Amino acid sequence: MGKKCNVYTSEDISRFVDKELPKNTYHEVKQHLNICLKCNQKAEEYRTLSSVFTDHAHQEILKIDPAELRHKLAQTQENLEKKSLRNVFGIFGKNIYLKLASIAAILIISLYTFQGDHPAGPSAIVKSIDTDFASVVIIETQKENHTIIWFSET
Amino acid sequence: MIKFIKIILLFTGISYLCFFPQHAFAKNRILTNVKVIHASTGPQHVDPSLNKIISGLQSVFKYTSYRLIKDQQLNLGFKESGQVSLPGKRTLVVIPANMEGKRIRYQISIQKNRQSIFQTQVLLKNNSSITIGGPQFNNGVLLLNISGSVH
Amino acid sequence: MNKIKANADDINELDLVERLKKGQQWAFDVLVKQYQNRLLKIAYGITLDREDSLEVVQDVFISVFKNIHTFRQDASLSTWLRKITINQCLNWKRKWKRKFKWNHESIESENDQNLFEANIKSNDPEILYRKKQFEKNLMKLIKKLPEKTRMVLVLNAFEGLSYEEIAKTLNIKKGTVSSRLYSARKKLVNSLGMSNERR
Repeated sequence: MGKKCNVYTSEDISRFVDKELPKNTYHEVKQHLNICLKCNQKAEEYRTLSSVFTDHAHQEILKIDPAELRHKLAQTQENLEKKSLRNVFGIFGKNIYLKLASIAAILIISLYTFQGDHPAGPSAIVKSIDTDFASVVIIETQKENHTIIWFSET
Repeated sequence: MIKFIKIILLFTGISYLCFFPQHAFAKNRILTNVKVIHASTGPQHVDPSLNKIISGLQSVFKYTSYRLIKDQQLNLGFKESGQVSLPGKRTLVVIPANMEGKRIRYQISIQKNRQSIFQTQVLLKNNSSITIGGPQFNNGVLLLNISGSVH
Repeated sequence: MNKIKANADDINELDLVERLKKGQQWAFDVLVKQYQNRLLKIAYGITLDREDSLEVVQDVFISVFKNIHTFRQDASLSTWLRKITINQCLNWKRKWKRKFKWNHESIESENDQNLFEANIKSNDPEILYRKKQFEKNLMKLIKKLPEKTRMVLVLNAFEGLSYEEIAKTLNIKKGTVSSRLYSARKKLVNSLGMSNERR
């Protein structure tokens, strides 16, 4: 194969074959191909690649059996209905155990959080006071249930 | 089926850990925090570290200024005594005695010149606090906020 | 309307879409008949596997029938089908991580002087044999092309799309289409042509 054409590049020929050159350039290249063996051969090579590839694909593809496809379609629709029913009555559908497990874990942790550390009632239950001070007051704040023991030294 | 059994066992484990910590961890420490607050009718001020308790205090007291003058953490075992020195030659003594359900039984004593002037026994909710006041100090009073948590 | 008399070839695209939206089974059969070859070739060009391409296109038709209501008709039905087919092929490959089935066999490089006679129509057994060999060698090389490059080649060769149309279909720039196509051709020609020099 030896020398390349000095006028047009292989890429130009590639674009020519696809009719992707500007109109004027396209016609110039077309004219050029009549006299340049190299470019002409290149264009043929590029066209051959496409046609052989296309023919090969055409021979290789299998035909779809319409009856089989209809059956597959019907099956898909059936599966879809079963899935939605399972979701409606089963609520959770797939991975039901995992989902149940997650919900139960959240419930247990919530119970612990809200009951384990926070028994109802005031923050402190006063069991006994021993002092010489005349006045002692035990207060529980309304909002926070915070216990305050107040005494006056005077 | 095996997967389901594994999940049930996991739940049981989690439940045990959640609901039986006090019995399981009875030998653990009681983290006791003592905040010594100077409350007065001076210029408006609330120490940022008192944000959690200030609304409760303000609902009861008419003080305008709440300054934190001491913040001490004590890591005590049951029946172990912890002391915090207070202004005016006073001392606060706290002793976590034992657990009663989910509450910590504390013995709290305020001493002046080594003499007990105030004593109380309280059942403090875990991770909660009590405020005791108020010994007089510097044109105001001292409020002692004592909190405890089981570890 | 007399459905039985209407010919699949006569039905126009709008009409077909309307009937598909109504869930008419007959329309589904027409859709399959009209488009299967084109879509199978595209799928084969990308997957390079007969069975896979058949499965992909079957899934495409089922998906189209189920989701025809999402077709906005801002492009033609064939454009839409083409895009779905390409996406299905890519998902198929990702899902199964399929590699080329064929092993890396070396290209048989005999008689490559007449490599590009493959287009010559002849009943000469020798020429036919050479044609077959060329086709075999070409396909081996095509399988080695990067998937992105091969997709451009498929749409150019099988569908005759312009660079602009290929660019839109694959969401790439027009310049990229041009360079990928050229790169594919250069690689293929050089690889096939290189064997020629060994003679």
